Parts: sequence; structure tokens; C-alpha cells
Amino acid sequence: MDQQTTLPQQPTPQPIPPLAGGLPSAPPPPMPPITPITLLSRLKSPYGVIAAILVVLVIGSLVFITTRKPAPAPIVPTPTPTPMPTPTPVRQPSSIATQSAFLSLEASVSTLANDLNTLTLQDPSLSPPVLDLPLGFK
Amino acid sequence: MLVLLVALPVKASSQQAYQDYLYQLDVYRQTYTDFAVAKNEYEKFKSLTSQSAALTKTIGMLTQRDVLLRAYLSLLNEKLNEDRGLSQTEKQLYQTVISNEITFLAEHAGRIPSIGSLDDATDVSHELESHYNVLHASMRRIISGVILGTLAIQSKQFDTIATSAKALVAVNRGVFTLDKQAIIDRWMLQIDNKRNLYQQKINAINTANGKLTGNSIDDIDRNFTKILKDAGEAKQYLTEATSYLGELVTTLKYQD
Repeated sequence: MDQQTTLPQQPTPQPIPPLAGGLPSAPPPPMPPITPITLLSRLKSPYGVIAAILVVLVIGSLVFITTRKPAPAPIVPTPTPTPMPTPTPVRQPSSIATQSAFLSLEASVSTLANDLNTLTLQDPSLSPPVLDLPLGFK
Repeated sequence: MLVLLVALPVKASSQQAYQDYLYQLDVYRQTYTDFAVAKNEYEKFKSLTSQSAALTKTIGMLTQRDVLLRAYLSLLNEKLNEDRGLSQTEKQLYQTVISNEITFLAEHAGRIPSIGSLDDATDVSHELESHYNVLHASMRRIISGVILGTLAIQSKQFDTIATSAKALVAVNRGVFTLDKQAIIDRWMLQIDNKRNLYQQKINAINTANGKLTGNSIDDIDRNFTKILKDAGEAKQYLTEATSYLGELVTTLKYQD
């Protein structure tokens, strides 16, 4: 097959048509190159430094407030409950409580109880002498 | 004041006997030390001089030993004289024992001057050694008697008070309610029970004391310690009975 490869035809450049109603103007002046605004570049400015310090201070304050331990509650002295003694029931003395025979009996019992408490049965002065009896001559 | 004047000479008599006993004990210790030194010298050298010295010191020690034992028995006798708790019969029984022992010691002391050799001294000493268990048991029996007398004083006082309490209750029984009367009766029963326990213990001590003997000094002392323990228990019963008397008094004191 006799087939020829044909390249696509390049479009021919066309002159720019003049603007309608006017003369063709001068080309616009070239724009200054646009430099990208980065964080670092912002921080380098005095306002950036101040803002950074403020941010750090705010964050630090928040961290400090959230992490600090709460102050111990002040010890409030609680009053010691005063023991309330059980009131001794008032007892009615019997009719014989004032009799001389009863008062004498009461005193005698008290004296005997004291005597018994202080009574020592064995008199240490009565311990027999300890003797070595055998003469032991060989 | 009058009581003091009456009591002082009696107390002085017992104290005088005790001071005399202490003095004789000191002298005995000195004579025993002299005897021990002389005996060692004799056994070391076996010389006539050391033998003579040993004999002299042995005689001195044997004499003082009898004096000491008699001083001790006199002290016991004075203690019995002062006692107010024992009956006259009991007291006389113990004083007879003392008298017999003093007689034995006096006779024994009478044989000491006739000692002419160390063998004689050993024989005379052996007479006391063979009798000493009996003598020691007698001493312990009399000491127990003095303790029983001390307890008897307290029990007599207790009985007097208990009798007064019962009389007071009998006269005033109607003053109290029936419930209160029942409480009073229960306390009186408890008092009687404790008093009976005390008496049983005293009876047991009297029985044991009457036959207080032993094959050795240690044996006698062991039996004596048992008597002492029983006497302590008797005292405890009397103390408890007295505390019940106190409870009875409190019960009588109040109406409700």
C-alpha cells in the first residue's frame, strides 16, 4: 500500500488585529515579579514578632491554667463534739438512809474494805534463818 | 491515847525480840565465817595448832547457832503474844511447840561444853541436824498460825458487820418494795456463800498446817508455800464478801 504519512499542517501565525476604534497602544509595562508571602517572611516583620509573642503568652497562660493543681482547700477546724455525759438518774434515798445504824454500817463496810486491801499476810521479819548445818570435816 | 499506851509495850516487846534476833544473826554469821576459815586451815595443814583452832571455832559456832535459833523462837513467841485473832487454845498449842523446841535447844547447848574433839563436835552437831526437819516444820507451822490469826481478825470484823446488816434489813424490810426485797435477799445469799467459801479455805489450811511435815527443808517449804497460796485465796473470798456487803449497803440506801 502506498500510503504516505502526512503531517498535520501547522496553523500560520496571524497578525493581531488592531483594536477597533483606536490606534494600537504601547505594550503594558512589565509587572514586578510576585514573591510568595510565607510565614517566615511574615514573622520577620516587627508586627509578626509581637504577634508571635502574644500567641506564645496566651498559649502558655492556657496551659498553665489548665495544668496547675487546684489549691488545697483551707482546713476548716471542725469543733470537737462535746461528750454529753449520761445524766445520772436522781435516786430517791430510802427512809433508812439517814438512820444512825445505817450510817454506822456504811462506815464499817468502808473501813473493812480498806483494811483488807492493805492487808499483808506474810510478815517478812518472820523468815527463818538459813543455816549450813553439817560441819563437813573430812 | 489510852489504846496507844496499852499497845506500845506489846509492840515494843515484839520489836525488841526482832532486834535481838537480828543481832544474834550477825554474831552467828561472824562465828560461822571464823569456823569456815579455821576448818580450811586445819584441812590444809593438819597441824595440832590448826586442829585446836578449828575445835575452838567449831564450839563457838555451835553455841551461837543454838542461841540464834532460840532468839528466832522467842520472836515467834512474841508475835503469838501480840496476836488478837487466834483463840487462846490455838495460841497455847503453838506456844507449847515453841517451848518444846527451846527445851531441846537448851539441852543441846548443854552438851556443847563437853566437846573434846572434832569427832565429838560432829556428833553433837548431828543431833541438831537430825532434829532440824522437825524444828523447821514447827517454825513454819507457827508462821502459818500467825497468818491465820491475821485473817481471823478480819473475818471477826466481817461477821460483826454482816450481823448488823442482817439486823438492819430484818427491822426495815417493810420499807422496801417486793422487788427490792428480792434484790436484798440475793445479795445476802451471795455474802453468805462467799463467807462459807472463806471458811472452807480456812479449814483446809488448818488441816494442812496441823500435819505440816516433810522429808527435807525444801519439801516443808513447798508445803508451806501451798498454805500461803490458800491463805491468799481465803483473803480474796473475804474481800469479795466485803464488796458484796458494800453492794447491799448501796441497795439499802436508795428507795428505787
